[in-house]
Amino acid sequence: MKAIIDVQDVWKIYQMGSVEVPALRGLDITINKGDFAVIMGPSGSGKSTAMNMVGALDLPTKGIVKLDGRNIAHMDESTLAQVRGEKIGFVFQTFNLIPTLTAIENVTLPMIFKRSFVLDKVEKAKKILRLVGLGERMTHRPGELSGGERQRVAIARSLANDPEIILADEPTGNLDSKMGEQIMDLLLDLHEKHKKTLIIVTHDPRFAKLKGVDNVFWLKDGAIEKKRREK
Amino acid sequence: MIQDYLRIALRNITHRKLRSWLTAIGIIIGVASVVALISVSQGMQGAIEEQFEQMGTDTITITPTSFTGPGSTAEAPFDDGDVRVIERIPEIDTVLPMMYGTAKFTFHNQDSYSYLMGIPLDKESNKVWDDIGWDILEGRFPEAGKKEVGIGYLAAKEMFDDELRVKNTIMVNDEKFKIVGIAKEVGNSQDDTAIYMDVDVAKDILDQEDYNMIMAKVKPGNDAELVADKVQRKLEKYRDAEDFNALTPSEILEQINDILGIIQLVLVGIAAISLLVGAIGIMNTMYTSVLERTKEIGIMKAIGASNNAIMMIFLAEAGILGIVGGIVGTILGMIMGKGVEIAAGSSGFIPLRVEISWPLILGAISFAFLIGALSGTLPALGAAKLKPVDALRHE
Ligand SMILES: Nc1ncnc2c1ncn2[C@@H]1O[C@H](COP(=O)(O)OP(=O)(O)OP(=O)(O)O)[C@@H](O)[C@H]1O
Ligand SMILES: [Mg+2]
Repeated sequence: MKAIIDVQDVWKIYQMGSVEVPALRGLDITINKGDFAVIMGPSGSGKSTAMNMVGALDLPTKGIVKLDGRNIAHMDESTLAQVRGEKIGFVFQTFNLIPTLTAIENVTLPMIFKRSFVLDKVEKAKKILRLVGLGERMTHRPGELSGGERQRVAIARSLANDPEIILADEPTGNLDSKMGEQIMDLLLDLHEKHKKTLIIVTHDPRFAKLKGVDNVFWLKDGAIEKKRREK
Repeated sequence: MIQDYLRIALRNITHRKLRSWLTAIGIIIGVASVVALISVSQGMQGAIEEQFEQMGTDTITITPTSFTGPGSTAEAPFDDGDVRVIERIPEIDTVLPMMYGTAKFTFHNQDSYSYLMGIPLDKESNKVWDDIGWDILEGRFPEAGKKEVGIGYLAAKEMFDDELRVKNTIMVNDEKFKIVGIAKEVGNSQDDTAIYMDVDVAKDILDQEDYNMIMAKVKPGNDAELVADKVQRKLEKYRDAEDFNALTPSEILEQINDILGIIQLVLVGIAAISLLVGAIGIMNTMYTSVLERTKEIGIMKAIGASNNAIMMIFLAEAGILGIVGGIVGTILGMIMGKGVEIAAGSSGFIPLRVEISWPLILGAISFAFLIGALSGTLPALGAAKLKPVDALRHE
């Protein structure tokens, strides 16, 4: 099967004044199209840094990150923006919605930034919001929504441009366990029913035990310590 | 797409209403003062031009170079010899020597000082006054050689407690005069508050021999400006001095417009400084906005916004601030201009008509938009260049 994400010997070194902080030290991750992968690790192990590489939010200091076979280091700014907007849907721990915009407007945002014209953005946004279980409250602003509702809006936004990959960094980290499970179910649903490649970054070991997980990567000190492949 | 960016920008503006208004006020004040100053000076120019149009194009005015307006104590420089020199020029039709000065007027035991004009009132001269559009509202023109006066429109109403009427008797420098006519309103206070009499009679009353200015009518079919040059040459030779100007109305108008132009430039220049302050205000607000919304910029980049898109959103925000400031400022400026018109009209000081000028309105609004967009450019560029991870990490 073809790898949709291919991370080969990636190093990320932050320069803190004269001190070099290596956040990733020779990271290797391969994820196939349609897989459900979990990246686990303790705090500070480099999970978010790894997610930034995979999501084309940042470039590695050394090594290769390939998305769909294309090296992100060879893309220019606007191509990177296009890849982020159309291939990947991000879900963040802190939701990261735009506070001045309503739920619908937040969901239409990626369609606005898309290169090609999207017909009936609002209709599409409503449809997605209904899909994630937010049929009401569509004209509310993030400040008027609960944490779980906000994360649903964020997930709806990640689906706006029908991306192949959903990349979630601690998606349940700011939710209570009941809310967290609902969000978890929603993400799993998207993977199973809508065939999305789902990558979840977390320090919560419960995710690794979920059924349907294809890959689990354990990170430690910026490198893979252990990995498990089902099937 | 553009309208989507505009909507996002608008949301940011309305989200921080107070700050947005405070920012816009900078531009509002600048635009309002520029618009008010330009429209008032345009109105003034229009009114002055109108007055000169009334004079026709074939009257030459000969005035001393040094300013000897009403109230000036400078000596009247022209005598009968000067008048004869001008009369001898074949292209000249009628020569009208005039004098003016302040005189004491007494009516019903009440004294008042005002402006007395001695003008020739023979048949030939009266034709010229007729051409210029001086008209009598009531009664008739005073006659040459007689102790008769014509009263300016405002003088009749306001000079004394009792309104002056035709057939009243009025003392001018303690000599008895009969009021024979009230003039129609001219529109400028200098003419409307004056009292007119025959120039030869005025010589005795003002106790002066010389004339303050001479008007000369050009015979039809001659180029007034060429004749004015000729008058200038002949009179210079006779007087052996260049202490006067012989000008046609259009030449005088040009001179006045030159002066007005300079005044306008200075005033608008000063007003432009407040526009600059407004522009700096917008720039400051935009920098603050970029800083506050760094995280949002990171989010938008993560969900596919290109550098261009971010740039457009922030430029739109600055442009909207500019355009709103421009619109409100223009409206305010027009109101201020109208206020000046009303004030000037009621004081009778200078007649002016402030008109709504579309080029001015559109110019002011687009200029304000441009100022907004320009002051937003640097902050917007800064926002666009932020790296997505760095922006996302920002709290
Ligand atoms: N921009 C940065 N500049 C300097 N050091 C950084 C930067 N980002 C991350 N680091 C460092 O790199 C290491 C890995 O950070 P990272 O955020 O990837 O960890 P994480 O596994 O996501 O942790 P957590 O579970 O707490 O989110 C940490 O030591 C962190 O301090
Ligand atoms: Mg993290």
